[in-house]
Formats: sequence, C-alpha cells, structure tokens
Amino acid sequence: MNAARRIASVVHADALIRLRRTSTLVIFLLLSWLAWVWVPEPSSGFALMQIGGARVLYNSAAIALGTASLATVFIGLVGYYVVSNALKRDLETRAGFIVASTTVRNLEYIFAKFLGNLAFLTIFTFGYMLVSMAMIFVRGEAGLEPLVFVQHYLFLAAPALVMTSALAITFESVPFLSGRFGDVAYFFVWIGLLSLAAGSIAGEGASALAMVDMTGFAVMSAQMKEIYNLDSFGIGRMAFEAGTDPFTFNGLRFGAADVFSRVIAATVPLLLIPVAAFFFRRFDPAKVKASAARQGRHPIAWLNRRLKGLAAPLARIPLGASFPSQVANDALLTFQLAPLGIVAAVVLAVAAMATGDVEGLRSGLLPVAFVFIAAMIADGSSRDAHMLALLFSTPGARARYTILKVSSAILVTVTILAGPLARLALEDRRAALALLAGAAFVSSAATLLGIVTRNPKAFLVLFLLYWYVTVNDQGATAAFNFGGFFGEAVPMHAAAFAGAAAVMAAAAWGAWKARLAREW
Amino acid sequence: MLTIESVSKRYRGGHFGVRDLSLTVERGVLGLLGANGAGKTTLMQMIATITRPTSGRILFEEEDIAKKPDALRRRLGYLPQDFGVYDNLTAFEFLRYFAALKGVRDRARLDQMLEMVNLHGVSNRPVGGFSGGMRQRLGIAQALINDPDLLIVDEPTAGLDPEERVRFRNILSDLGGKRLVILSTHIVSDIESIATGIAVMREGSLVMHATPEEIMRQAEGKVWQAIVPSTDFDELRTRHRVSGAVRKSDGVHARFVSSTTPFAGARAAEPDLEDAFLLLMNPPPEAVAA
Repeated sequence: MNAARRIASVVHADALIRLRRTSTLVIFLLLSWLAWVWVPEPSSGFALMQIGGARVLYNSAAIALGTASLATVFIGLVGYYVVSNALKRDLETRAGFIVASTTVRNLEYIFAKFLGNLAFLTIFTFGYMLVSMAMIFVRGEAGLEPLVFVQHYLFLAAPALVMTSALAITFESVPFLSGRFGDVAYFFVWIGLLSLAAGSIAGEGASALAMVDMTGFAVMSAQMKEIYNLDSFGIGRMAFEAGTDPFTFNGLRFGAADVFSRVIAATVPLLLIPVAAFFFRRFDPAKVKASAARQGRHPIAWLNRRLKGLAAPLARIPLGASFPSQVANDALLTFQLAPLGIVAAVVLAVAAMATGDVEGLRSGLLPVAFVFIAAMIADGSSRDAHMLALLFSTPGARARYTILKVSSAILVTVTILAGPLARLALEDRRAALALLAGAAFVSSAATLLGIVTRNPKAFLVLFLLYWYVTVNDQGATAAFNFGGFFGEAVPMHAAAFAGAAAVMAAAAWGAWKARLAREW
Repeated sequence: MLTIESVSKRYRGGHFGVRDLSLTVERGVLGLLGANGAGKTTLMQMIATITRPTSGRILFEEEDIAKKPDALRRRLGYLPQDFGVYDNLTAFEFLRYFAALKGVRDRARLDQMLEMVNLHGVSNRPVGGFSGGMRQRLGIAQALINDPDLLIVDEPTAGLDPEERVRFRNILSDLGGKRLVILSTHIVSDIESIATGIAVMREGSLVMHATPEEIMRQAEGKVWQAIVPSTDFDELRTRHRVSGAVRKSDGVHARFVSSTTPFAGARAAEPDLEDAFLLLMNPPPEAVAA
C-alpha cells in the first residue's frame, strides 16, 4: 500500500513538473499545428488520406486514424527526448540523494518514473486528441464520434506511449546510453522500430514483428487490405485527383485478435523495466562517478580521450582579444573538447581528394559528415550554462554572444568540411556555395535551438529527423536538400538556405536579448 | 546510537574519500568540521546509506546499516549539500512529494513543518522563485517530515546570508535535544554555539572527536595576541598561523597560534574554537629564530 502511494506520488510530481513547463505548451502547440497541416482543407488540393487517387471523406474515423498515426510517430521521437530526463533531473537537483536515503526500492522507483513518463505522454496525447476532435467542427464532413477517436487512439498510440516511456527510462538508467551518445543512438533505434513496423506489414515472421510494432502501421495496413481491399494508401497531406468521389473510411476493426496483438505490443516494452532497474545506480555518488567514467567508454568518448594529444597544439595558438580571435578561440575549444573533429576533417579531406566521383562525394559522404558535425556543434551554445558570469566578464562576450556562437559553429563546420569544399570549389562552384549555405543553415539552427532550449537535445532530434527526411527525399524537395547534396546545385536554393540561416541567427539574437533582459 | 567502525571509502583509481575512520556518537548535535575535500560529505553519504563503505561498518542502534539500510532509512532525515529543488512545484507540493516517499500521510504534519521553517505563508508559491535561504529551510522541512531520530545536514549554511545562517543555526539547535543531528561545515561559527560534540576531519581521516571544550582546551597556551606595526605583519604571517587580525591606529591587532612563546610583547590568549580548529588543521610551524 505504501509502495502504491509512493509510486503515485512520483507520478504526480513528475506530471506537475512537466506540465507546468513552457516548453510543454510550445511542443503541444507545435503538434497541434502539425495536426492542422496534416489534415488540410480539401479545397487546397491536398487531403489527410489518399486512396487510389481519391481523397478520404473527413469523418471521425478518418481524422482519428490520421491524427493518431501522426501522434505515434511524434511520441516515438519527440516524446522520448521530452521525457528522457526523469533521473537526470533528480541527479542534478540532488533530490535523488534524498530519494536514495528513503526506503523506496530500486524497481519501485524506476517503475514509478516509467509511469511518470507514461502519464505525461498520455495526458499530452489526450490533449492532442481533443484538438483533433475539434477539427471535425472546422473541416469535418460528418458528425463528431468521440468514441471512435478514443478507440483509434488507444489502438494505435497506446503501444507507442508504453514503448517510448520504457525506452526513455531504460536509456537513462544504462550508463552507456544515458548521454549524448544515447540521444543519437535512440534516433537510430527509432528508425529501426519504424523499419520493423514496415517489415511486419508483409513477409516472413510478420506476426512476430507486429508484437513490437509500436506504430500500429502493420495492423493498420493489414486491415486496409483485408477490409477495403487496398494495397496502398497514403496518410498525411496527400495530393489527390480533383473530381473523384471521396472515399468513405469507416474506421479500423477492433477484433479480438487485433486488440490482442496491440495489447502484446503495449506489454512487451514492460520487459525493459527490470533491465532499467538492474542498471539503476540509486544516485550512489561513487557509482555515478564510475558510471560517468564508463560512459566515457562508448566509442566516440573513448576515441576523443585517446585523441586528446591531437588537440594539445591548439592551446598554443596565439589569439588576441579581437572578435575574430574570440570566434577562433571558441571553435578551438570545440575541437579541444572533441578532437575526433580534427580526424574527421583530415579523413574527409583525404576522401574528398581521393574520390573520383564528385557526385558520390556530394550525395554519399557529405550527408554522413553532417551527422557527425551536428553532434560536434549541438552543445556549442548550451555548454556555457554554468560559465556565463565568467564569460560576461570578458570584453564584448555578452553583447556579441549570439554572433560569436553562430560564427564559431560555422567555423567548426567549415573546418571539418574544408577538404570537400576545396574539391567542390575546383570542380563545381555552385555545389561549393550550396555546401557553405548548408553549413551556415545547420550552424544557425544549432545556435538558435541551443539558446532557446538550453540543451543540445532539441537540435539533435530535429536535425536528425530533418536529415532522415533529406536522405530519403534524395533531392525531390528543395526545402530538404540543405547542403545541395542531391542533383544539380541551384544558387537560388543555396541563397534560400543562407537566408534561413540569417533568419535563425537573428531569432537566436532576439532570444538571447530577451534572456539577458529577464535573467541578467 | 551511531557507531562507525574503521570505515573507509576508496574510489576507483585508489583515492580514499574516507580512511579508517571510527567514531561513536549519541544524541545531540555533532559538528563535523573539516576543510573542503576532507571527506565530510563522503562520510555523511555513507551514514545516509547513499553509498556503501568499501571497508568497515556503520551501526545504527547496533544494526549494520549496509545489511539493513531500511531500519535506518525509516528514521533518517537527510539534507544534501547544494540541495536543489523542482522549480515548478509549490513548497507544499514539494514537501508532500517527499512526505509520500517517506510514508508520511498526515497533512497536519506538512503544515506544521512549513510553519516551523516559516514558509507557511508562501506554501503555494513555486519554489523556483525562492531565495537560497528559503530553499534550505524547505530542505530542512523535508528532512524533518518523518520526525527522524537521525538528521544529517551537509553544509546547510553555504550560500546563506548572515541572518539566514543564524535562523538556520537556531532551528538545528532546537532539534538536537531529542535526536542525533550531524552537521557538516568548514565554517567554525556554524557549530560553535550549538554543537555538543565536534569531529574534526582532515584528508579523509578523523583528527579529533571531543566536546567543544576539550577541543579548545588542547589549544591552551598556544594562542597568542600581539599588536604589531603593519610593516611587520607580513613577517608575522610567514612565521605563525594567524587566526585573526584587525587593523587599528596603533598597528595590527593579530591573533595567532604558536606552540612556544613567539616573541616579547606577545600575550597568551584564551583559545576559541576557531583557534583550536586552525591548530588541528595546521600544527604551528616553530617560530624562526629572530
């Protein structure tokens, strides 16, 4: 009984802490806006679902299915990064020490934190479902059926909520996965889970894969084929053929076998909780220190430690007090903290000169290089959090902080890309310009999101998502081809990315000014 | 009540946080005194069952706390060093959270604690807007919520203004009557008026454990005061450990420790706890022959 009360108390406190954050409201508004984009006005030529060229009729079932699908994707990615600080917060505030000095059991605490994640994401999703229901009154072509919404959300989103909550607490508990390496690793886990969902739609072992399908896409596809005899359909702002009669979607079927497979998909992630409890160090300072040391054993940290000597000469570079010197100083600090960047620059330079195929360099090597660059510059403007007073005592740092950070990130990016840039400048100047614009675009985004959110996670997750779309889009959409990787480089596109970089830099400056006025 | 038997804490790499420390304490206020890095926090974390000794035992009322941590945890209140808060919770919500974790259901107890630390008037305000002193008071309220028999407070006055320090000291002094309070600090004035016992630590080891009077007594005959010209003060400082100095019109009124008569004109002074602590931390260098 006491354990239940303690668990309820942790869940309640975690929910309050998260729901009262401004960032929660911002993310909620973002998701709600995405839902409105996702369900466009049919007169625009786009619709929520497209089936055989026809648009879907906007009834409760169609809007519930479409928005719930978006929710599962959003929860799995953004939701994870939002809730993956449950233990970190207790460690940073040292409230964890107090928890450790109580009779709370490790498994009990981890389970409570998991439930805290789940409760928050569920409340968040419930709010989003209400917004989606409201869309019936604006764009609906049939009456509101609340139960249909609840059924579709439970059916599709519940496993995603459980899986994301369980993975978040597991990644936080396992020392190897609890840092920035884990943040990047999770993105690829998420991609893997989406691939599993795709794999479970057809082929060998489909039913087994459906058991870990957090998206519900597998069962959704199977039902579409079985009930509506559809081999393909599209969800999410799809173009349709005007003049064709709308397709009436009457909703998914919630038969015992289908519900059972979703219940299993929502239960399987619970197996992660004991694993998380096993690795949980109960805030023991000796073990957390040891964990931190072990965390340094993941490949990137291990390499950076081994390469520390490479960065030593950087400290001897004489720098003055001028603004360019300050920029160089900040960029050097990035390389000193992550000397792997020096190796990456050399490897890229050699590869750029050795490769015979410039197209291969642009579309193959450079996108991969940007994943590394993003990890390098992600914390450029958030790493100073505890040193701002010290920095502000240096000439000009306070007033020029934003431009300093943007310039430093660009310098780091351009240094790493120096070899490919040189090669492109010789053979395809437009491509070189597009790459430079991409460098500025990513650098400004990292600075803006770092200043606004005060941590590198938001940038990393948004960049990786954007990057994933870019690589899969293969240049079909100009708005995703940020480094001019695919097809012929278009100067107008490069100019647009450079402009976007300038806008983001200006936004970062505005956010910084507001923060200074508020806090300093 | 609390017995520490040859306890050591050794970290990876061989560094000792605490080395072979033994101590027995009963009810009252134990001041744990030592410079930064002396091992006070590590010792307190071991007593609070947050980390385990690598060797030795800690017994609370004859029970080994490493084997039966819950026996102590049910009766423990702990306020860690640099204690933070969940900014978005109100003081009441914050306290209720820890009350639930400690199995306390009585709402009246929460109100009573908030009143004791003088936060009842702001109990519905988010703690993110609290001053350092208010946060520490909230911290002591959560530590006391389960009416503990053992209260551990680690550097509780760090960052507090003088008025808050006095207020905090008075709260702890009142609490010491019926329980054991262990208070760590490197500031002698934090404990000189409230501690019934003092344990002095240096480099992970216990240097002395005694009553404040006994600690001061061992400094008798080794504390001196003199008025020296300001031009000679630097030389005095190089020869002796100075515990206090006030610059006046007739020169610098200096107070310092020395195991022998330092020079003609220096008068023996009655030692206080600050002098005794200084002496324990740094045995006085013999005066260089003039």
